[in-house]
Amino acid sequence: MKFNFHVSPNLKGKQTTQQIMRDLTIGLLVIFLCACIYYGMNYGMRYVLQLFLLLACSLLTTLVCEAIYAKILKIDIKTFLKNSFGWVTAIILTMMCPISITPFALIIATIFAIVIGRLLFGGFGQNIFNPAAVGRAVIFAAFAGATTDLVTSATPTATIASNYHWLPATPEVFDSFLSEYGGFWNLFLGNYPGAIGETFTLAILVVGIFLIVRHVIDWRVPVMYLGTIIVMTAIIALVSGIESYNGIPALLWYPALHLVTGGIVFGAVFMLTDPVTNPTSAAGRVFFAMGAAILTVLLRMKANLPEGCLYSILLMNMFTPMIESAMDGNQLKIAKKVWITFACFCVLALGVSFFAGSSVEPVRELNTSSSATNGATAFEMPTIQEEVSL
Amino acid sequence: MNRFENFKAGLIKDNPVFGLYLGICSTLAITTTVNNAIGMGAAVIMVLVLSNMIISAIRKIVPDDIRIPVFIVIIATLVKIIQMLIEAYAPALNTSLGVFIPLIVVNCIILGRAEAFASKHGVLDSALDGIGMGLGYTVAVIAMSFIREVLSTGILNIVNPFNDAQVWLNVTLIPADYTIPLFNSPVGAFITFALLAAALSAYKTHADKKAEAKAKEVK
Repeated sequence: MKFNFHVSPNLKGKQTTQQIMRDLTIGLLVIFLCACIYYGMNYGMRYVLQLFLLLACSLLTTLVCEAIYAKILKIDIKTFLKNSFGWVTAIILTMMCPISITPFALIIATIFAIVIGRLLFGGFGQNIFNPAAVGRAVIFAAFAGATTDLVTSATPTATIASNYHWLPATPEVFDSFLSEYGGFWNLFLGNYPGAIGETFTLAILVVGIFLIVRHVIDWRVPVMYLGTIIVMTAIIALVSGIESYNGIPALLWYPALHLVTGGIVFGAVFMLTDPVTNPTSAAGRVFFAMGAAILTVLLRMKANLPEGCLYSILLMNMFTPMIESAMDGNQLKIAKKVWITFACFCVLALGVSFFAGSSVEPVRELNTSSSATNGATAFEMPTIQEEVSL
Repeated sequence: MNRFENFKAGLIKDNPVFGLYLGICSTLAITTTVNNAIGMGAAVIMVLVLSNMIISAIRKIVPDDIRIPVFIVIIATLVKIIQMLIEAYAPALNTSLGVFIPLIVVNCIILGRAEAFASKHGVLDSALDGIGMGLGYTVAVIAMSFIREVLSTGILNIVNPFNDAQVWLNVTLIPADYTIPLFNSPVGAFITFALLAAALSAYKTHADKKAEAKAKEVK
């Protein structure tokens, strides 16, 4: 009698990691193309060249770091580079930076992201933190002032955070904010200054749906993340008594404002869904996304930072092992536990939104917005561009 | 020969900071400049050698039950003396080190060596161990502060601790545009510490493997 043994896993998905990463790269490059078009149309070729320079710096640094690592560990460099997918990290990191960043800062951030965020943990598949988020956090911590003389104006995220505390309460105040950036539709399309890749909400959503249909990313994470943010901001709008805008109730326009400003859509589609730093179970992913959403709203409304998406991702990455071990085992047997946890997260989200909605003072009068708070970033319209030399 | 081995172990293999993970609090806090690190290292060496010698001299007459309070009193006395000396002769160093000089009392290296080594060995051995461990600590803090100072400011600056007008060394290693201010903050301290500890650990594993391979060959 002869037995045939197969080493597990015996049930395999059709997709290989290579295919998933290829699709993700194509999606990212689409967003990069959008950025090229935006900067090319509004600022000229110099900015587009700067985009390519930044991307090339990041990619080259990644390649060099990984090649050195492979050389030290005596692995074949070519196969290691092929299976390490460092370029995804490099592209995401570049897209999260503002265009005014110096190449030097980006190179250092890439080294941190690749070497400390990824290779020291054991390479692709072993890292605890999203490497691109690590790199961006390094830029936040170390290179806040490292900018080239390529000028863009204040981002809507910074403006709304510093001048309006994220709560423009009356239609007039909201109008004065929108008029700076050419209206709501412009914000939705991404036709405004910001980090290189994060502004194109519509394009990112389209790419996200495409990736979900191709089973590259899990639909639960972005849907739950954005859904929780929408519900929470709607509650905040109700609690703080924001007025309706042109007939649209605050319940609807205020969450939309949160979605179109800043990087949460980019984070939801490209960073939270990173399969390495996600929990593996479906329930775990839902809680992961909800926790990140709660942290994002809390950081946006109550913290000093203009944007909370990045740190919420990093913080939730730390909780991933905990969620993983809590949601371990037969998913049918732990169903009750899952629902109780879900209820706890809902209560937490409610509590945070009530807290934020009642403790942040809504901006009802226009004159607060005209007195700009920090002179460096406030109110330079992108109409006048001086000839700049690199 | 055995004595020398003991002395050498403190420097690299059992380096108190990166090998035994003792006394990390002050290591993280004071390593912003090389000057601080040299001053702190010298203070720790003095306290460590003296405390080791005194404790090993009285080890036979101290009752076992109350040995830790006795050790602490001895160490605290020595630290107070050193602190007053620094205050008198190197006031600039005193201001920049601040509270971390009195905190040498609770530095784990000193009590740890008293407990683990000096209370069991003779005076000369204990003194040598104190020098070895103290030098290990000094090398560790100087390495960390060198990396942090050079990366965060780009300038290596060493002054005479007894007279801060006298600059011994002031070289610009990295132009100001290419410094990484991150390393001046506590985040940088933790990253530097972790990387150096990882490097030492990697070196130790490598050395162990080599020794094992050699032992096999001999067989």
